[in-house]
Amino acid sequence: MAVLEDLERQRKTIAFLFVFSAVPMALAFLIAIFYRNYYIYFVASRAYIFPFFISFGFFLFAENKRKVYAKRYKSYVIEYVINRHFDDVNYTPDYGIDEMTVYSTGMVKKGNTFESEDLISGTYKGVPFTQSDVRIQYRQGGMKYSKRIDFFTGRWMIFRFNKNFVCNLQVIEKGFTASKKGKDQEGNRLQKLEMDDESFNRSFKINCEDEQEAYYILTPQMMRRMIELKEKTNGKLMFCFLNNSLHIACNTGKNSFEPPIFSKIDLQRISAETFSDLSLITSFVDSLNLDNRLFKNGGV
Amino acid sequence: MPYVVLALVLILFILAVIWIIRTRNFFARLIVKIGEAESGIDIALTKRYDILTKLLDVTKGYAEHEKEIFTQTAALRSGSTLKEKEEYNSALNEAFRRINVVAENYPSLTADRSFKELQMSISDVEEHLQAARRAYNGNVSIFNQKLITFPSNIIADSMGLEPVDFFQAEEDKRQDVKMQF
Repeated sequence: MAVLEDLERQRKTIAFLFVFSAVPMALAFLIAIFYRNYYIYFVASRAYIFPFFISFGFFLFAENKRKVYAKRYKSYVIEYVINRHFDDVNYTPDYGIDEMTVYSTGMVKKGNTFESEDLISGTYKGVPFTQSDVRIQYRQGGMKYSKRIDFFTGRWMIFRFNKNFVCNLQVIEKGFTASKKGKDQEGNRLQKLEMDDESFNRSFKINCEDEQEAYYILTPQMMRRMIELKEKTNGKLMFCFLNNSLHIACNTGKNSFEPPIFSKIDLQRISAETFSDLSLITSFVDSLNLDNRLFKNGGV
Repeated sequence: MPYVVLALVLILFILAVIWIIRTRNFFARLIVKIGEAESGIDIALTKRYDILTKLLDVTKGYAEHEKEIFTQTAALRSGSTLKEKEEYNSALNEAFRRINVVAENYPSLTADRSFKELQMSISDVEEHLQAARRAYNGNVSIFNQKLITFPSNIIADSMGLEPVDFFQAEEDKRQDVKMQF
């Protein structure tokens, strides 16, 4: 509990620093509003640069402190909550699923920035899984002009699949615009497929290497469950069946497990929120019956 | 003016030629895909037969007098028609159903490790067969739709194409052979 109190003290300091970093800029604006003549002199002399730099300096200082606090918060609070809910789980806040693995699915366009953190790996109902936060962006520009396109921000999960297969199959929810337009990791065009379920075809785009294997994986029950998951999950869903593994990417647009800055560290609330984040993993295993080993052992 | 008309006619002619080539190729590709899917059915049926034979070997040790069940079903003949495949599938279903009945009478057989593994294999092969059947019927459905809809039916007629039959699975019998675990 002493650590928690210490974290709370750290949080308050950081919150204060963030607020304080805005003060010089706010003062400059107030002066500009109330003393217009002074404002002209202020702009003409380019003195506005000074409060800007002071604010920016404080902000950088606060941001550095926040990173240290976030690291400590994750390795203590989040790890504690995760261990309370799962028996066999490793949590590594600083690492994530690597770039190669994510791009090997060919589901998302390549950006020039790849960030991944909050790696959780373990087993649920005998199904090994790995998950992490992933952000893929395309950044361009310099001092005057800059452009930032978000290709993907959300959760990336990898499960061992309960059937053996060799081909690449992508199932991408319609409306996700940063997909690679039906190409695999090497840029080879995949075959577009329409399944025998109209509601599934309305919700997802299917690209595959082998049509029969796609039908083998996407059974009517599996398609029904994928539609149900789509309804339940926030953000666009993507499924990639590759090398006997199932990759599930959920473009939530948010970073999970981030510490609070302007609100108190409430362990009960955090526990509930973290559990709800983690329940995404368990819901996929439960809904898609990934723990069913019937077909994995059944090869002849 | 005559040149404009001539150019328009030429463009229309080129477009028509392109459309004819595309439609012919579409039908040709679909015929290949139907053939592939049908061979997928053959593979799945052959796998079912293989497992049936393995199950027979395991079951023989427990129920020697039941062996006539299995001798009635031979391997899938190559070049068999879709109707024959459907009948063959039904025969395999019946054989599996009878094996299940035998297994119910011999608890030691159901506890046998090899028997259990083969039962699991059946589920996997069933999934493969269902996938091949769905892939086949999906392609046949597209083919038959294109065959009767205008204007692709013109090309289909010129190619002498005929509607293709669907592969019918006897759902009631499929239910019967579901293995208990």
